[in-house]
Amino acid sequence: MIRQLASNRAIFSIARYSTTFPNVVPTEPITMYDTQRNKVTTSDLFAKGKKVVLFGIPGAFTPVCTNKHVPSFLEKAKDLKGKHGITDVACVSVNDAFVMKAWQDQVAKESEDVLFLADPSGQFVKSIDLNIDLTNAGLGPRSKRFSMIVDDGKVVALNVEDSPGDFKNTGADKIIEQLTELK
Amino acid sequence: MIRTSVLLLCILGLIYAKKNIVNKEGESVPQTVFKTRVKEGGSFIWKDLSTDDVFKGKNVVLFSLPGAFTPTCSSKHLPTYDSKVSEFKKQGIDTVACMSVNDAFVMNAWGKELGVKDVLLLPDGSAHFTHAMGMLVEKQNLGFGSRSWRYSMLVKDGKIVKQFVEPGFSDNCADDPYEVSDPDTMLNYLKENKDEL
Repeated sequence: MIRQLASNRAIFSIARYSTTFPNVVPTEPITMYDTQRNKVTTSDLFAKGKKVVLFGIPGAFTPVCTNKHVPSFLEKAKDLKGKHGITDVACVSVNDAFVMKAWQDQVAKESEDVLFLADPSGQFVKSIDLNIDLTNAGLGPRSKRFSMIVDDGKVVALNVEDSPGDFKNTGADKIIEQLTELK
Repeated sequence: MIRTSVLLLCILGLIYAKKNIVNKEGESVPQTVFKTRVKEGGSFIWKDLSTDDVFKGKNVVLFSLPGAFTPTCSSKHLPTYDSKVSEFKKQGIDTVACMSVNDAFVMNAWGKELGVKDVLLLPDGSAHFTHAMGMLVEKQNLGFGSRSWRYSMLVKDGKIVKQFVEPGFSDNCADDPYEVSDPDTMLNYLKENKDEL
């Protein structure tokens, strides 16, 4: 069930009903890693003055993530940053930085338009209640497939797939639609 | 001097982490199902491999490491074992397997990148086997979650004959020793203990 609301310039469109957006800037910052193994905390990523598009994926090297989700944002990253004033387009996965680096080399080649972030213990995605247990597929605790717009540290749009294998409303086109509506 | 300091750090880590190595020699390997991905007819499909599928009725050398695509694992551990599989076969080993707490997608991509030919890659993505072996450690200090400590073992028809566990077994160890779980140590053991098989 998709529900569209516009109030206080916040739009959310999720595959299941939710009334609140998560807080992505906890008091105790959570640490993730970029592909050079530098620490990137939630306070860094969602600092004041930043307008961030973040998408979460169940796993590096998995088919939908590799063939659809990342390419969707790679294709539109320049548009997002140019026309829509996005400062950062980032991808987060419950993988370590070595795996994210190897995957980035394969899927994004030379492009640096998307920031690949490792959330190795799943601490960040769990803190925003977007974690999912994929033990049955031999993946352990992972991120749901989602996309969000974070403006000045506040989530203003959130899209979550019902199932990690789906790719229905968490791509770049949906985000662009939402950014256009938010203007 | 640096090695001494690092060893001291690991020992301190060992004390604080209060982790005891559980020697599993003489015991059966844990029962689990590995969720592997194999190519069939041009596309990849899921294939369950049980403990019995891998170990029953076979002589297996298994080595387990902290992470696919990490430096020591990629530059030394896996490639060196892969280059020596034929030597293991001469010593009566049926399968040389590499395990890590990584999923099948990552293991396959890693194996492809390194050009692995003969080592069986076993994804212990949910850490069941590693946990049951008592080899699961925290590695948040290095930007990982819970991972396998580095070790190797000789398994005959599902029974653990010999284990080589790297020194300094502890959570969040600053170092990543690679001293005893290498292929030459195992090959020498096999040559000196031909009766074991």
